[in-house]
Amino acid sequence: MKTRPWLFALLLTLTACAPPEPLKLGFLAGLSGRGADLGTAGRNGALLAVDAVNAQGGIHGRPVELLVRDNEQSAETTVAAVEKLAADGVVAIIGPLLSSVAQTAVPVADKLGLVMVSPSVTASEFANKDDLFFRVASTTSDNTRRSAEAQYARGLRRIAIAYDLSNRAYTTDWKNEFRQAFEQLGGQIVATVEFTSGQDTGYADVVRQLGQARPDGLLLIANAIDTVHLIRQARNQGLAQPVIGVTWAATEQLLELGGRTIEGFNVTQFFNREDSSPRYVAFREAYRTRFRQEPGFVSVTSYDATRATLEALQRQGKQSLKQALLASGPYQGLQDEWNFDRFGDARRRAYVTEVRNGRFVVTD
Amino acid sequence: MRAWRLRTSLILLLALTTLVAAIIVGAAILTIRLPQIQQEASARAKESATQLVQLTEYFIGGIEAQLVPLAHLAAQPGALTSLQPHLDALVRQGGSFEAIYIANGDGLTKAVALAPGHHGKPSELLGADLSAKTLYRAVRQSAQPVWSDKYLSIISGELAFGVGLHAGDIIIIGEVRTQRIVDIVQAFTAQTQYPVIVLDSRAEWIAGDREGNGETHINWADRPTIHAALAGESPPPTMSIAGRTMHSGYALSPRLGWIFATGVPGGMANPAYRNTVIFVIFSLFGAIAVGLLLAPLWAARMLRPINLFSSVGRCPTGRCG
Repeated sequence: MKTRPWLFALLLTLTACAPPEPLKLGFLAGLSGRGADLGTAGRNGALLAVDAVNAQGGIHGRPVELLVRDNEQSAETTVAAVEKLAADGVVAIIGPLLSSVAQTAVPVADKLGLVMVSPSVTASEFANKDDLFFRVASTTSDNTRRSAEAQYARGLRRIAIAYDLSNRAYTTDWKNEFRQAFEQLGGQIVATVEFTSGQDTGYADVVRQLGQARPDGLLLIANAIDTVHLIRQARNQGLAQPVIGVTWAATEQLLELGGRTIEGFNVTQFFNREDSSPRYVAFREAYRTRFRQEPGFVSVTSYDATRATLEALQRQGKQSLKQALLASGPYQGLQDEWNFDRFGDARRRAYVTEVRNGRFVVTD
Repeated sequence: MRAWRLRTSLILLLALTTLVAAIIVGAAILTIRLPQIQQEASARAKESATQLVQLTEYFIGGIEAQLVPLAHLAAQPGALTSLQPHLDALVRQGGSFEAIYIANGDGLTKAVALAPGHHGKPSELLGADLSAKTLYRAVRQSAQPVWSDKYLSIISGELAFGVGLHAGDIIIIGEVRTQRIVDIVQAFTAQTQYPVIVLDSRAEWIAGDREGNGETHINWADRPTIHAALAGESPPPTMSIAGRTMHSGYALSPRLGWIFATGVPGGMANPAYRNTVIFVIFSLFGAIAVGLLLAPLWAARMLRPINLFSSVGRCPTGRCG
């Protein structure tokens, strides 16, 4: 067959003119139901990171597209969402945000060969595993140790714990790790009361059981809404003890939903809202402008998780994404520099904060 | 240069004249009419969005109006303690509200009613501090009822829309399930022949033609049309809806603050546009066909006198006929 050079030249020109295929990145979180505040804040952080990378020309000239999926806080939907993202051709998934969801999602993603980078899963059961699951936040044991030290230092010795079974992987881990750390310091856990978020068990009953143990502090391992309800019930029942919470609850919704009820609420978290570094201030302004809200802790960690993943993709070469993620650090986060260890777990700086005048203020 | 027979030249002349005339007329039609069609499409998109806003506001107004008698009662001195039966009746019979609660001037809830089947216990919700809530603050500062964006309800723990109004120091807030509003909006959008998206004032998805697609979970504020709507500017001529480029129009709901964006198909997907292009193409081919059919006949007819002269001229040589 006679070749026609002009035809090849034309085809080459047309191919060169076609816009490059977007690089698809998945995002998986609960965007409906009781955890929607966390999911939305995380999604927003990831969107801003993708925007920032696209503004710099994308990854190897390809624009990045974020495919967002809602896991509806259900195991079935989680599996379907991961499989759908894989079918859509994502290179990695940012998420999930809850440890209980990770229990379902990680094995599925592992089987599909998909890297997952979670902004906020901290449960110890995922630590020290050589798999495709990466975590940007410190493990629960790091957080609980820091929190236990802070509570012991402020004079608390007898703490009663209420924890939510709807996110059991996270909450039982938190309870156990905190107990261990607090008892090592010389403190005592005087009661543990479980409840399930969104079910008929009244908050008043939970708080009554906590109060009966005569604690000098209450630890609530719950989401923002349940934390607010439990604190209000505690105050209604005359319990004036300091209340301690967990990062899961430390969303911006907590401040809005809690009002004056949550004044003095103490939580250890890896987010400093008072950070005045130019990098974080620019992020906060962009976030406010785009979403008309304040960023939360998971907005920051989602941004960091997404930037790290895209940075690794940029540097990937012939490596797998897992290798690239492990080799591309340390990463410059919005508030601090951080890195993955060889198992894909990160260690971040933690801040002890307290709600004062409707704001989280760093106390340590 | 190749010498053509006179008949061939005449056929070509007649056919080309017809073709060139058809092309000029067709191009003129396309140049003038196609931009008009595009403008009409944008205007239709805007009109469609405006109609949707009016219909939605009409029904939303019906939900809002259920709270007005409650506000009148609450305004009576000492009425706060006697409102509970009215609240209970409203959530049970109205069918619109998932929860209704009344807060005093300090933002503390003094009465709460929950829809049947709700997990929460109303007694546990008394004393909740609403003073930091965006909706509570907006209601306090407004003489008119105020609707919220989609938010996480402290009462139900689910995503909801809130509507609030105040009677003196008393604030009444009704929470409507997002699905209830989505059903209303979708009942209207289903009747339109064009794709529609409805977003709250933070550009978060409420309802539209993309249910079940990942686009329902993204924030739309960076899309040019939505960005223009949020900034109160004119929209760009087109936007991408349902994976197709469409002529866009939007309308803002004054009562809700939500954005209703509609897309009317552009280019060949637009029936008027497509029909015009097809009409011009068919006209062109028709003109060519007629030209090719008539030109030889007409050329033959024109050549008949010349041929006659030619045959007469050959007679002296004995080659007549």
